[in-house]
Amino acid sequence: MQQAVVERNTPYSDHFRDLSEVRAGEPAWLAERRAAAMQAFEARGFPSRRNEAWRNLDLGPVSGTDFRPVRAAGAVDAEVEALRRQFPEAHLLVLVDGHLSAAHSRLDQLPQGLTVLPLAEAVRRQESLLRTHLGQHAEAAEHPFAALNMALFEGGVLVQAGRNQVLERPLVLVHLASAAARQHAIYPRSLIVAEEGAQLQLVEVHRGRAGEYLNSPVTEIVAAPAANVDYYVMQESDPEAYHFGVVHARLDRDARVSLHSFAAGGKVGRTELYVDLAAPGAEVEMDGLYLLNEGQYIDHHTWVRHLSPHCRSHQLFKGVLAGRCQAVFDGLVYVAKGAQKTDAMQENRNLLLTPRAKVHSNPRLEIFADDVRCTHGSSMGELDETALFYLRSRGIDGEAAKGMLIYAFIAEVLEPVKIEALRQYQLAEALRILPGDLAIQELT
Amino acid sequence: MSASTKTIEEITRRDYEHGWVTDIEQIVFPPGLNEDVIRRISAEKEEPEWLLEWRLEAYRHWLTMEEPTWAAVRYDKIDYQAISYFAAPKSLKDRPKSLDEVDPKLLETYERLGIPLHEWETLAGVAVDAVFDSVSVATSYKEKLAELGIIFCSFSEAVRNHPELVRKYLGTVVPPRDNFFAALNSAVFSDGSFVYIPKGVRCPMELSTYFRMNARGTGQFERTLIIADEGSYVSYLEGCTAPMHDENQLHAAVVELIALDDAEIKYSTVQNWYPGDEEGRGGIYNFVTKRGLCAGKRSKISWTQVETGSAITWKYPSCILRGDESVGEFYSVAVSRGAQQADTGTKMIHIGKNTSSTIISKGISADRGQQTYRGLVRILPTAEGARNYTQCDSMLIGDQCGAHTQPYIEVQHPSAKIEHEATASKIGEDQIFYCKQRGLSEEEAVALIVNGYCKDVFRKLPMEFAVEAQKLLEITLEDSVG
Repeated sequence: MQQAVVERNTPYSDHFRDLSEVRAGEPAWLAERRAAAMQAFEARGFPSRRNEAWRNLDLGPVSGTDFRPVRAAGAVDAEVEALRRQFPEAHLLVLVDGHLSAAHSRLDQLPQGLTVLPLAEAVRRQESLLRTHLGQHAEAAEHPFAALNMALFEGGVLVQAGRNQVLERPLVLVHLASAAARQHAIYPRSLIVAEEGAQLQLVEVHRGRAGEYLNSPVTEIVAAPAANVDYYVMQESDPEAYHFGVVHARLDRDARVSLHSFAAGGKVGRTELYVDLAAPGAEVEMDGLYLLNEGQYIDHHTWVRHLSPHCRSHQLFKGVLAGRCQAVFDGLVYVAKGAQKTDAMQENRNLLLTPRAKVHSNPRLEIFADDVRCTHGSSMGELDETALFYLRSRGIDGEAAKGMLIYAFIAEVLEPVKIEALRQYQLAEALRILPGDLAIQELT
Repeated sequence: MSASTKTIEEITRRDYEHGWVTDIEQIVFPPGLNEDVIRRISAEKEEPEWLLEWRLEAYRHWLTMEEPTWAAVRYDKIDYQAISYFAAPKSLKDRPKSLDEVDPKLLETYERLGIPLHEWETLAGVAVDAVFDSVSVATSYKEKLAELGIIFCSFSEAVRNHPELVRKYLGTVVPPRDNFFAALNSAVFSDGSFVYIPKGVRCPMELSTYFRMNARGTGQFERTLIIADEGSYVSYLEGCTAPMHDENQLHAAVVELIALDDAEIKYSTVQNWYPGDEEGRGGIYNFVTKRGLCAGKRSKISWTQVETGSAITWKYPSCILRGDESVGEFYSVAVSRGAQQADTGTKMIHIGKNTSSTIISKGISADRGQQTYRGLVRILPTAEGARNYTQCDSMLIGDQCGAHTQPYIEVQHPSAKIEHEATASKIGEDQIFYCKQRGLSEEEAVALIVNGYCKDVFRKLPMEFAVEAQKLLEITLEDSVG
């Protein structure tokens, strides 16, 4: 594909130079990876709409603005207070504008076997682990925002669950954008490693009320043989913000990972979920819920690669659209040559509540093996009239009936959420955002 | 079952059976493309000035275009200067008035293809327009159709005899600038079929065109235009074969369908161009733009295709559903085996209110065949109450093949009801086991299952074609299973 040639010296190149002192103490391998990522970005620039994966989105407002990295975190006390109440049980790790904030975090009861370290420190203490994984999964060479993140991240965190460690309480990683992030860029970076047989529940929250800013997080998840990871990502960026998130999970033999995405924020909010099923028996469950209001663009791209036989993937993404907005779901299931006995399922359902809402759905299959079972389905429509009529014939008024049906529609994707506090929160958010009678809350 | 067993025996020769060349004197332009070549084509066909201008404009625009690379097919770059853009049998210089005057060698050619023009005319009740390389050689049943006011003739004849219709509709569905291959076709198209069904007329027989590419080093660029006026109905069939040459030949056709109020067009294709040999040498590049416009209210366009030939297929028969309550349908069976590659599917563009479309696509990949279903369903903000149902299934036979599905669904009206389903799998071992346990051989079992798999599409074909298609499928899959 022909890419528009971008002049090599973008503002981002300047940002890269400006951060040289931050990188000063970094080992050579990391410096190389960062430089390579920067070069990859410079060579390709921001993708144009001619690029298939970006054809629904005009990146002009992003490429035309100089979003500088935030160098010093702003204040976020009120938000943190809310979070503490929201997740009373969880270990809480707060990063403000990409920088770890020990003061806001709640890590006093971290169990043995769970390592949580700022990346800058992990580079020294866990160098071989980082060298093996950091920037080795999310494809900086291919993806413009993964490249920018790799080149420009400052803070970042390593979470490592040790061999056969079963972690009872979830770990919540909160990425907050403070007022200081306005007109700036933040590059949250997380590396999650679940060693062999480990079990981990992890929530990443991207939240901000900083108006227009660029949030470009990258999370790499490594699940060793027989590891079990429940991962939840919440995209609640400011309605004025640009959010481009990349999550890349790699599963080893018999590993089990569930990825759950909840997206309701951003003027432009894009979440990309890459999954490599790299060894036999690996299994991934993916669910997503996106809720759109006036003026929003929310996008999910999933790339599930069956690289090995006997793997299973299951995807269910649902969206509700209200107002003039645009939702995109683009999911690829790729089955490599030799990946026999693959079982892949993908489903995308969209509920359009108002005219002028627009949906693009691309459930895609690329199959190079024959002994497989791959299915996908996609549907779009408004609320079922006969169902509405039925409820009304039972004496439920129109608005409440609508609310019930919307609730039923979204409940399916909330069910797999195993952390009760999170499930409650997502449901409450959905009811807050969506139109319809809130009387439904009494039912829950 | 006996009939099917017989065909299997019949077809154990797995060679391409239409691979021979007719030895006939031909006029062939030297390879190369420039404005002079286009002028010569136009002169050869005694075309009016406006059409020449139309061609030249398309050509000039084509020069500014780039060959598309988005399809999931791989081939060596085509040298457009190495192709001859016009080939015609010499004996047609003075055009035959009726079938009796047609060169017997040509008639023999069609007889060998299983299309005995005479017989078809008298017995089968199918009107055939036979296109040999670049020109139409014979059109049967003309008089009978003329009584009803139906125009069925070669494109060149239509330009001469019905310029007002051609001028009014040519390029309205597939504009000359539509895409790279459509632009090329618009510049150099040689012949094709033209059909006009007047108001309220139900065409009493199937209309059929048979395309035969004969000369070496030529391309075929035909253009078909079908207009169904208000309340009319027509069923049109298209078949194609080509001899075995070890170089690739380009086939870049354009088909435009227009259905006015309450009209219905049913367009069926059995495409069996030479697919190249086992190693992927030779074969036809089938880069075709087919599109129908449901211009009128309650109009209907239905595409049915059985794609078994061609080295590379790049083809998306589409419907633009502009009239309120218009209907678009697409039924497809596509087979890719050997080194064949197919990237095919459809587009359904819903513009009018309460429009509905159905897509049934059955792909079969065997050997090293690669196949992609690529489809678009677009519901525009004006298309209140639009409805689409899509089912695209892929069957995989052998571990070297590939099956891909790339549907695009875009919805801009909340009242739309869109359903899309796709599956990809191999033939179930339990199904084969069941058949074998009932005394069928594995081969018969596979034939039975494949036939059942394609039934939804075959059912939509006119009878004569359904039989041919079924047979073709068996030949094509011979040796692929077991």
